[in-house]
Amino acid sequence: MSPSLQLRANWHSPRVLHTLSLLLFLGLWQGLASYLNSMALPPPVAVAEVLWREIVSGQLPHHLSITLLRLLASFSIAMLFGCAIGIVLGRNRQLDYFFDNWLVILLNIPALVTIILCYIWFGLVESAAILAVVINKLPNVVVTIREGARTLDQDLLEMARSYHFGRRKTFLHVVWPQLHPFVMSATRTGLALIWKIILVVELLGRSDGMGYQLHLFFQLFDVAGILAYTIAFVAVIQLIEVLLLKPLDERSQRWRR
Amino acid sequence: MTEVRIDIQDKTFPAAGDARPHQAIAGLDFILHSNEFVCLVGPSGCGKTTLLNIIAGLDRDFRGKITPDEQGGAPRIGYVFQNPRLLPWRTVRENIALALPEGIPDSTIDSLLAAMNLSDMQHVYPERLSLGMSRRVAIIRAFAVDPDILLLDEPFVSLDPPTARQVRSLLLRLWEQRPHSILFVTHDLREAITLADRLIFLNAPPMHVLSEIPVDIPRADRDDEAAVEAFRQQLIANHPKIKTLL
Repeated sequence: MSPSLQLRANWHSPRVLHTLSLLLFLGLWQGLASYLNSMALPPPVAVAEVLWREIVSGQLPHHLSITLLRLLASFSIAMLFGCAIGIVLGRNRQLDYFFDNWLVILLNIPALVTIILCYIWFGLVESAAILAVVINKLPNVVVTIREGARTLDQDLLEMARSYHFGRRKTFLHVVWPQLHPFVMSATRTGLALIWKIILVVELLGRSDGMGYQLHLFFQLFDVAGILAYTIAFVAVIQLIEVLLLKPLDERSQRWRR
Repeated sequence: MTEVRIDIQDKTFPAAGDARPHQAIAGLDFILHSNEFVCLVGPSGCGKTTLLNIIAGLDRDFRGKITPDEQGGAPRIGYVFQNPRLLPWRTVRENIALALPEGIPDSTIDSLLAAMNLSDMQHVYPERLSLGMSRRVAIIRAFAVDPDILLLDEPFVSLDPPTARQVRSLLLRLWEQRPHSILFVTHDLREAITLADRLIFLNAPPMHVLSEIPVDIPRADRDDEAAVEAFRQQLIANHPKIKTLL
């Protein structure tokens, strides 16, 4: 009686569930690969071997770090301008009405179109690549932050005004903490969106980075290589979430009951 | 600061959506003397908060004049809003420190916290405070800026009677230590008589001064509820107009 109870209790622990679901995933993969026995789906062990080989040879760290640098650059630019524009539009109704159409247009241009146009207009250069990613990401940030800026607490803003906080203090202590959840949400969706776009940008017009490597593997029909790079990339993004975003979230939420 | 004259000829809210323009204040004129405790008494929703916002400089869209104005050295305002309006993401102490103007030492906060029995709570976030505590923090913040005029907008509403009494006496103690003019808005006549040097009755709409009545009970006797009640009865008997407000 008691061991089965204990087992059931363990079943509910999130760590156990996470591990089990991961094992199940690997199991299914292995089963499917054995059943198909085809070049199109190598088993997990083969992918792990490729992953290790690529890490040791320095190829994977090289391309991964280049892609991450591009991600960092375009992400920072998009967040900086997106926050600024979002706050202005959220606080000024006339400007908001005026530019709303622009946002809708930008939001609906397919990523591929911006990328191709940027390369045609500015050439196959680094800045064109970064710009293409920024243009894709910017409207999403603006829309999210605008939502936050619209719902700023009027009572607290009045309080800040009556106590002569001034612009800097008001922004740091009254406005920013209220925008923080929106910034975090823009960051999360932003990372997920940007890294998908960035691979296409690299595939189309760069001679290094993950996108370029994946293109190469595609031409060689090297599925193990594709999967190995994908796993490395997903792991890095997950690390950013766990080591950077989660602690940031927790730190800024500590005032909540 | 000698005295402040509040003279508001007209405050009208423009039409918004389906609502027609609404005149909130018309021909309201009174003087607040130096270090005087004045209670503004009037029915709920008669525009008292609008009046305080104008005096605090939050609302400049009105016809009239608050003297001295900015050229003449505008009075420094400490404003205790109807709800405490503390920044939930800053601690009690940070909330007070943020409002401090330059030139006022940090030690002011310590003595005010001690006076309001909140020293233990200074590093706590506001969400962990009871309403009575939050109100006290808001009062400390207003005192800390060393105001010429302290505005209090029904600061004890929705406190249970013992807590309200406690915060009220703490407020009076602080005021006696650091005298300055106080405008205290309430619709509770007993509370007003307990606190004020002078009562100003407001009527609406639009809001204007109905009558001004000094409270001549010595401060020492105001804890005596019978004295306050007697004053109240007499007041209503002598000024039948006031009765309609209450």
